[in-house]
Amino acid sequence: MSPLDYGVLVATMLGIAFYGMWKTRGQRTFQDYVKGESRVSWGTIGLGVMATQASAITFLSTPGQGFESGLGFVQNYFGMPFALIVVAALFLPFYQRLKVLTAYEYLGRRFDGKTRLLGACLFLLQRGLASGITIYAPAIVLSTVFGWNLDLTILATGALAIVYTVSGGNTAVSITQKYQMLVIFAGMATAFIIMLLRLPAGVSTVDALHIAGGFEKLNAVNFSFDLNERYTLWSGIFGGFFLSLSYFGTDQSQVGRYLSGTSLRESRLGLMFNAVFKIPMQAFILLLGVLLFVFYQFAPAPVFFDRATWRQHVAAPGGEALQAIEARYTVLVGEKRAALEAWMKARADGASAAEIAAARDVVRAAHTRSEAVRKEAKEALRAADPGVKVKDSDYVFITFILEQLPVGVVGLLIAVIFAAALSSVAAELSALGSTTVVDLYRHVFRPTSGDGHGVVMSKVFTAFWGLVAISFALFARLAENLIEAVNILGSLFYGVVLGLFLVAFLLRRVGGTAVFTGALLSQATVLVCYFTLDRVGYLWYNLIGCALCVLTSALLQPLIGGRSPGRPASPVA
Amino acid sequence: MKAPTQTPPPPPDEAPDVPGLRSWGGVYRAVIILFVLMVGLLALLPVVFS
Repeated sequence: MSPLDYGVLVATMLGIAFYGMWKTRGQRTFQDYVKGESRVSWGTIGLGVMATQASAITFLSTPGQGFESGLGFVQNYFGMPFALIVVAALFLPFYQRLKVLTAYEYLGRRFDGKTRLLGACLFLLQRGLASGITIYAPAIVLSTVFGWNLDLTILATGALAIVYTVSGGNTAVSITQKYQMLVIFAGMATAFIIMLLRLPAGVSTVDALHIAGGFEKLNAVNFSFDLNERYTLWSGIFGGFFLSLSYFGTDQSQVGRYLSGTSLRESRLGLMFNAVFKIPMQAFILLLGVLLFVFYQFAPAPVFFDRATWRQHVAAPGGEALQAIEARYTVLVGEKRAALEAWMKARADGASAAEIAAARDVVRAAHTRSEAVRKEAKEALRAADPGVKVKDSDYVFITFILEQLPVGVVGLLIAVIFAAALSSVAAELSALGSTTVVDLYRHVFRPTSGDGHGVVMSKVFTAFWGLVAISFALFARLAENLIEAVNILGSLFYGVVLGLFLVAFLLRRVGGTAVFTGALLSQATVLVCYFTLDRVGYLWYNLIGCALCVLTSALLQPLIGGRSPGRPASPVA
Repeated sequence: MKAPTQTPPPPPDEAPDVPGLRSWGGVYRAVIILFVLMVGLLALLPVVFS
């Protein structure tokens, strides 16, 4: 990166962080610090909800996903609009009416203290570890590409998030997220336009889409009922619904965003903003990846997109074999490009449908041959170094950024990645700090502590969770599969937490002891199933945990008896 | 005599004042219709560009 790029990156990141701190400098009350000053409009809430969900890896990995598999991944988000409608219509009125600071405080009002503690602890355990991965995942990619020190990249990202989150609390998170999202939108739109401009002369955007369609990269919706298909309309709607309901309805990092709204109306509109715009946004990022695929059919594409790792192994003893594979790949890419140009010419000359289809099949055959060599390259790399990560799709977009974008814009795009990381981490740290103080410290140890003490302890616990996240991110490189482990951990606990809330909202006869016992039994069953059954994909535990918690609570209630002494369940006074 | 302190009423829960969207049910229906249109549009992409 050039000095100008570093200047753009540092100025953007520090500028937004310090603006957030400056805007929240007069904040004094505990309510303001934890929940925000309740002046937040629906636009800020909408961008905040979007920014919290979209981490840096979204902008690194999703274009790579589009490059490799096309638009099909967008189906994962199909359940989200329905989940957001349920959160807006059912969950939000309960939270707003009781003026709770955290989602788990509602469980305490509805059931009892022990159920509140259970919900809060499950959240802290899961989100506390996940925040480390939110820092680690982009740091590993950026440090590999730029040769930066990994530990320093992790420390710089984590420290900046801690400084402004501790300083300004939830309001600072909301303010900074708004500008971070603007940087993200500007950067992604710039990258998209430049990529279209860099297509070879004579290849229009429509031609590029036809090429993508010819490679079946535009197959966004799969109506198949086959359970073995990874992404289908049905798995997206049903699986995505439960995952999104749990995440948006019960995860304090999201609940904190929309509870900061001026009114129920603003919070609901913020959620509906995401229900409408999240799918187009993901489709746009995937389309960027699809067009990157088209771009690299004409531009020289590396055989392995993590070039730093590839060069390192080519230079090592035995690297000649890798060089030979790369040379064969270059020849095949040339053949594929010639076939592609013949296909484009047949289309432009108005050849018959059969001739165009025949030309397209030649391109597809050439692509299959070049992909076989790419696979061979990855296998050779793994044989040379069993510890190397051969999935290189995370490096596709960053390779394009570095090699194709002009000076200054590179800095803006790296700022996009950091902005996404910071916006997610800050929301997570704020939620972790708030939950620790509201649901553990003040609830169990210091129920009578004043506002000032509450603010100080919130800052202390936010910083504490920031240090936990940094420590976990530093440790994560020792075990690469920790990322998947954290995703699994989330799925194992999310379902039961969602079950707790659904019982609270929908089963008004069920009291605290029944739901607490039901949740513990369900959690134990989920863990036993996970460790004994191999064939159940971990995403299903979201649904299993939720269903078990609701069922066992309903069944236990007549046996245990008793009602929660808490506030009435209805959101209507 | 000093008037008793009154708690201000909560802000009204109004949907946007747009024809067809004057209730939250209307907003939710509009979101679902937009979702169906988006899925339809995405499903048409490989048909249009092949």
